[in-house]
Amino acid sequence: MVEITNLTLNYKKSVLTDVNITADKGECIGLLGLNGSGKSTLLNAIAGIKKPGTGNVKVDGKVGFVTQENALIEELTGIDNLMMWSSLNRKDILDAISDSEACVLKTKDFIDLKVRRMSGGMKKRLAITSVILERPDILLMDEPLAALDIPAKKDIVSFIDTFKSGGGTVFVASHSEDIFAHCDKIYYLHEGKCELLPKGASIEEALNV
Amino acid sequence: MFKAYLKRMLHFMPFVMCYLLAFGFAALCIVTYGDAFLFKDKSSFSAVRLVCYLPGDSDMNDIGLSLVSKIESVKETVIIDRVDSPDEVYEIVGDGNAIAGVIIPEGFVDSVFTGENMQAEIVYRDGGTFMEHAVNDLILTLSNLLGTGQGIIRTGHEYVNTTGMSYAECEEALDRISNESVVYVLDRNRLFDSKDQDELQVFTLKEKMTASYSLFLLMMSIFVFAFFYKGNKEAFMTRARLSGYKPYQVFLIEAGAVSLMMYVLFVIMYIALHLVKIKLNAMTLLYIIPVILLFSLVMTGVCYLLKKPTTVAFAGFGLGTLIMYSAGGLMPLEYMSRFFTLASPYNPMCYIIDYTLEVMFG
Repeated sequence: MVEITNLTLNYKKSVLTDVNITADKGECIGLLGLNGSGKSTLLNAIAGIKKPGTGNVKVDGKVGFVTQENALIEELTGIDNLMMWSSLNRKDILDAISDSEACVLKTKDFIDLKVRRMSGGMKKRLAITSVILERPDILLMDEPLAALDIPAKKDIVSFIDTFKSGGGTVFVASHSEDIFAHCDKIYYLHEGKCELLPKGASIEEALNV
Repeated sequence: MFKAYLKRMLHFMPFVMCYLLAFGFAALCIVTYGDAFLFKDKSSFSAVRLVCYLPGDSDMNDIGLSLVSKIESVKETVIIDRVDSPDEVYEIVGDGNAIAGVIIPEGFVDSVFTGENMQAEIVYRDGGTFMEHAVNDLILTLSNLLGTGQGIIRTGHEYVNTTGMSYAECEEALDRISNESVVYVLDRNRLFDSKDQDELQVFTLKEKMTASYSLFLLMMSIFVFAFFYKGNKEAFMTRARLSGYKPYQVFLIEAGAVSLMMYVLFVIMYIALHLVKIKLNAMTLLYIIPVILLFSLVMTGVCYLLKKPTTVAFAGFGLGTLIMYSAGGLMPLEYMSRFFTLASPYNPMCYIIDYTLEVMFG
């Protein structure tokens, strides 16, 4: 569970004031907003990387963060990258990625390939796998569908559904409508403010405001 | 994470080897043939300033000094300022306004004929940059020239007074004697003729250049290593933090990995130098480690500050070259303007070069 109350944050060009968000277990929260509106800054605050100016961020559980840029080492294979971030050995990792939650990402199919030779979709799936190996309760995803092909998008969206159904909480910052259809709440960030988008409201309209 | 970095190093080494092959060959050529370029033409010497005290107010002193100043090789390389007292010599040399001074004692000329062989006093600054033996050679030559010149003139005057020889005849004889004597003195010291350059000096130069170019190669490996770092990427650091790594741990792991690669680079350089008959002390492989650690820490720091690999590579190249050049690592300070000689004690790279030189050749 995540509870953000009266959060004010200043980071680079982004300014967030008086942000209030509550996310329960099994919920997916969408963060919508134009470039520079503070979506990534907010995710960083939830992850505990940026300290809030005022207000409070209460996080109950382990956080996993899938950053916009993949934190992978290009020269190494997929399995080497997973082993770098995980304390598990090769066999345990292969077992872990075969379970129902992670197998949706189909990482096993390309795990021995060097990251340099992977497509964008493979890299993103590998990055997500490396995060979920640590069994997070709360998953933060920053633009997870950016520049991906349709099959990769479908796999990632279905992974989010699986993660939610397992009781996990997901925060996803995106511009993509595909993902918002799977969100329980959508927050719209604009000029430093964070407002809950009413159910049924058009995302395009919100972005045109 | 360190295990992953070890694997990564193996994948990175081919790039390091390519770098070494390209830059290392160029550096080896410079070290091997550098002395041939530097000593090829005596005009490549920059002029040095000397101060000279001659006792008394005798015309002979003026003529002697004038004779020395007009010798072609001296004219090109040495500016001689005459001063009125030995104290002034100490003061000017002490202030760094002259590289050395000569104090001719009272009765110096007479001692030439009596066999007493008085010694001229030589004062030079402990700059540590102008090779000591070169200064000694230069000043010894000058004092010899002064003594010879003055002796010839004095002898000429005595001939005029004692033999009744005319001044015209005396001048003709003096010209011949002085030319031959001066040629003799110059030939004996062999300072200004590049082809007869003291072998020790050439050898010292080669040693110093080997040390400094080895360091330069290690420094310039930033061109390759700038692309190795991941800790300067925000996404990577975010991931590392959430996996329980502190920023300083990532920094140290990366600096350690670069140190290891740099050490491998140095071992290859060590073997290559042995193959071309430049023998280094075996203990170099141990004593070079602090230098490598220092370089890798500085490089990692620069990478974390500037973030973008291309910016790091070019900034590293520019700054590294500037620091190394001003420390006399790319070209000996003796061939550079006086500013660099005076500034060198404030350049830490000078001390690193000296340390490496000591470590490599003892």
